[in-house]
Amino acid sequence: MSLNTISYLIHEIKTPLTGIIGITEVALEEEDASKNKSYLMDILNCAQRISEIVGGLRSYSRITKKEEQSLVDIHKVLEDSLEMVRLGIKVTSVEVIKRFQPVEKIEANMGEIQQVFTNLITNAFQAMNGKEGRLILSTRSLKDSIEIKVSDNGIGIPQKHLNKIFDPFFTTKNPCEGMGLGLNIVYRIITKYMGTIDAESKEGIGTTFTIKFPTKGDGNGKESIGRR
Amino acid sequence: MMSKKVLVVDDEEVIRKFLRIHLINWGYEVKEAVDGVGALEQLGNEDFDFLLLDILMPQKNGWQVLEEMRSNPKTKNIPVIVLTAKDEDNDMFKGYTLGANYYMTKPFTNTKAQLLYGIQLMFGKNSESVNNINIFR
Ligand SMILES: Nc1ncnc2c1ncn2[C@@H]1O[C@H](COP(=O)(O)OP(=O)(O)O)[C@@H](O)[C@H]1O
Ligand SMILES: [Mg+2]
Repeated sequence: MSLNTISYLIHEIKTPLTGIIGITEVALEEEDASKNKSYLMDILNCAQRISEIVGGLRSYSRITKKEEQSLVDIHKVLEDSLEMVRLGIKVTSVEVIKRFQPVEKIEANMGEIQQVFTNLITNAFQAMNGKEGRLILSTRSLKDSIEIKVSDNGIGIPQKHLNKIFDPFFTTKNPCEGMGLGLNIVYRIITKYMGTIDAESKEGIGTTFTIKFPTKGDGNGKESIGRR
Repeated sequence: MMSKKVLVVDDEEVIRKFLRIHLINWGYEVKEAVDGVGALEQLGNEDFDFLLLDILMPQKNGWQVLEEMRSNPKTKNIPVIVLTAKDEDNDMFKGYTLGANYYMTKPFTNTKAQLLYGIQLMFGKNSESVNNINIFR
């Protein structure tokens, strides 16, 4: 984590902390008990913001630890991730299309791979903004890798943001929706397994993330030319 | 006596809230802005006795506001208390050279005493602008 990131974090924590202390000082002197509820709500909101930051940091630090690995079935992870995101987000009408081809299992930590896809699917759902959405999950096997695409027809990403979306704390969302760590975590997990991720997007049309994980090379895919 | 007018500039609603509560209790009239552009706009339209000014804000930060204020005859002499989480020496020094009158670093504790100290420092203990505040009631 860079020094910049750390000083950003300190600021993000100090702000709600200032709110908590300042409002508490006011509440302690308040003689009209009916006002206390609003002060308590403020304090709770601020505390939740801090706890979100701490939660984000925790998943951030977890990636660097060496954890148990197994042969991970990507299709199962995609299904589970979809389920998890659906539980957490109010999604109105999203059509989910799965185009799964047989792919090799990859050796990885299951939790981390799941985190990759819950983050990507969460972003996809958020990008649909409640409108009629369509999410396409597809997989296929290449010569020495497997490829997974997560594609949405949401708001899209402006060209000028495309090179920033994987940076820690880059976000265009309000603090309740995200703090800009999602794609950075995704990126760090994927590179940990020597994989790659690419984003393609058109504003107003949608976004596609393409992920590749290397396999031992004995996959059943056709030759792929000029790709790694 | 007409009440004194203060502009509270901070992008964080809850911070504006408790500052506003103290200032209103002390009899000040309080106006608010959520970013630098809004602050400069209000400074152009109204007269203020002093400002509480956050630094890290969208749409022009506090340093930019301070610089523009100090180069405009209308606002040149309005006292400013800078509120910020940037509490390193060189940040403070930067603040003073840009014309800040007093510095409060976040998270503040004992907000009332600190605010009052800053206000008294700017206006003198017996000045009208202190609004006869007695925090040790
Ligand atoms: N599927 C998507 N559609 C549109 N924008 C996206 C998508 N995924 C990511 N983004 C953009 O990238 C930013 C960073 O994403 P992320 O790192 O997950 O952080 P967060 O979701 O917390 O903002 C988002 O704020 C958004 O602007
Ligand atoms: Mg996200």
